[in-house]
Amino acid sequence: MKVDGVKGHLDLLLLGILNHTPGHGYAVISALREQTDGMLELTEGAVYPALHRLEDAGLLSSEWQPVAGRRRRLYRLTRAGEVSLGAERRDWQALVVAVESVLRLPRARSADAL
Amino acid sequence: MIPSSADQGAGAIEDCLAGLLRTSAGLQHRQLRHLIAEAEAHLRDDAEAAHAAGAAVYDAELKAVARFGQAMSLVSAERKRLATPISVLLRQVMLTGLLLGGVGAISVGASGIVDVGVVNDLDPMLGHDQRVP
Repeated sequence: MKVDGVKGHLDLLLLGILNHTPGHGYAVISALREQTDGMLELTEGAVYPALHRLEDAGLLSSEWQPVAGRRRRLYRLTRAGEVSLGAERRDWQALVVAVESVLRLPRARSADAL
Repeated sequence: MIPSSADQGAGAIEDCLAGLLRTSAGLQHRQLRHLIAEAEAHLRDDAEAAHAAGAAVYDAELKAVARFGQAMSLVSAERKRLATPISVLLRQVMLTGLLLGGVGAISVGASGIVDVGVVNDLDPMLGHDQRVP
């Protein structure tokens, strides 16, 4: 699934990944790919500007650190990021419940409703 | 660890970073330096992973660059992020206008007060009896 498939939920995904452990951009993209069995293959052109935007918004902080002999920019959640993640997670779960309830409608009943 | 392209002469990663640099007009030097450093670390990590999976160094770099995508799209996303929204610009223009208007009004008021004071002080000396209230 490309960026369009997660449009509107990119922030939630990035905050969710970085909630487990601070990481650099490459690690974030790899973790998203691995944890979703390759379903979420996000492009660097989407992920890096989003990370920078979340940092501008105060939801992430970053610092440059040498990791395995290379200078990397490590992102971590701020307190505001944790709060935002909690709110976005609740919104997401409410959306999933709402969509599921529509999909579970019996065929005849949905036809009646229409 | 794959040796950097600088050690090997030009490579796909080095070309990609040069492309990023070429298309980055409008970004501030600090932002650009961070963008290049972040992109380079990303590309070398990716190339290293491909190399570890069995690809030749040259192919690993090519794969990393292909996955990274167009330098231009990353730069334009950064430009878009850094651009000042029109609403903020409008608010700044309005605030500046109000500030200038306020300063103008205060100046006019102050000059009026000074004028009244001067008239009140000077008129008796000049023999005029009228005082400005």
